[in-house]
Amino acid sequence: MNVKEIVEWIAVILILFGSVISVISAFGMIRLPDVYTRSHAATKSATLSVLVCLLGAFVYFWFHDGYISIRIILGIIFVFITAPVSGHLVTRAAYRSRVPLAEGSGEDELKPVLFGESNQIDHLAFAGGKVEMQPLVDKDVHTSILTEDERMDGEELQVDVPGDKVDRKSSDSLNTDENGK
Amino acid sequence: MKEAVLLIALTLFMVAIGLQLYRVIIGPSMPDRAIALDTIGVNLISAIAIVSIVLKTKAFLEAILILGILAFISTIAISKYIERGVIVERKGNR
Repeated sequence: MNVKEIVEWIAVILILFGSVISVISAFGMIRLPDVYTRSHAATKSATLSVLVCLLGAFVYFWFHDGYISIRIILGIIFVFITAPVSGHLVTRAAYRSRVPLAEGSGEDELKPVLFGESNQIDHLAFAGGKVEMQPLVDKDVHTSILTEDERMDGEELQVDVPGDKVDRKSSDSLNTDENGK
Repeated sequence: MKEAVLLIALTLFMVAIGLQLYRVIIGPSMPDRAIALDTIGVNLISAIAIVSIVLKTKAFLEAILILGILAFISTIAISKYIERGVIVERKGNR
């Protein structure tokens, strides 16, 4: 078994490794609950699998035929650049067309920044999914996720009525007056 | 022996493409289908590389580049269509 055989075997095993990673990412695409979590499986591991497989093909052609293929190198660079960009764009379009988050997601802090308090839905026809006329995070899910400390914070916020604020302001002004004196 | 391993790898890629085809068909929203189609294109690239090794030819290596470019451009077009409702925006002053 000379060097050529050994390097060809290494290339073949790289290709097999890439195919196993591709199957794992396909299972991620099936099993994950959400567009945003599925994009993890679709972009990262699929890109890794294709990079490993093309690298194996490059090494195989190099040592089997003595042929350094510029096209495979260009393909590797192109996939490595464009796959994260396309994943990011599709996820951005999904969020802006109001595809709902999975149940059990945490608090959605981007939603009030992007859409404000008004809940008008304009591009719903293009989302095509089960998008409901409700805010993206249901209240029940939200309260079930909260830890005890956050719940206590919420109770404090509910207790905090405007009259209390007025009292605090007056006491603060009194304090500043005393400090001024 | 090497060819057997390569054929096993090709079969695994086809299994992955089949699983993503399931996601394309039942995907609950359009971005799901877009992501799954992009991943199918990316998997086809590596399947073509394996086929060109098995058939002992270099003629398929251009198809790798073409498929990569097509998958990228089509994914961007689909995502712009989902986000804005149009693909080519015309920003006229009139």
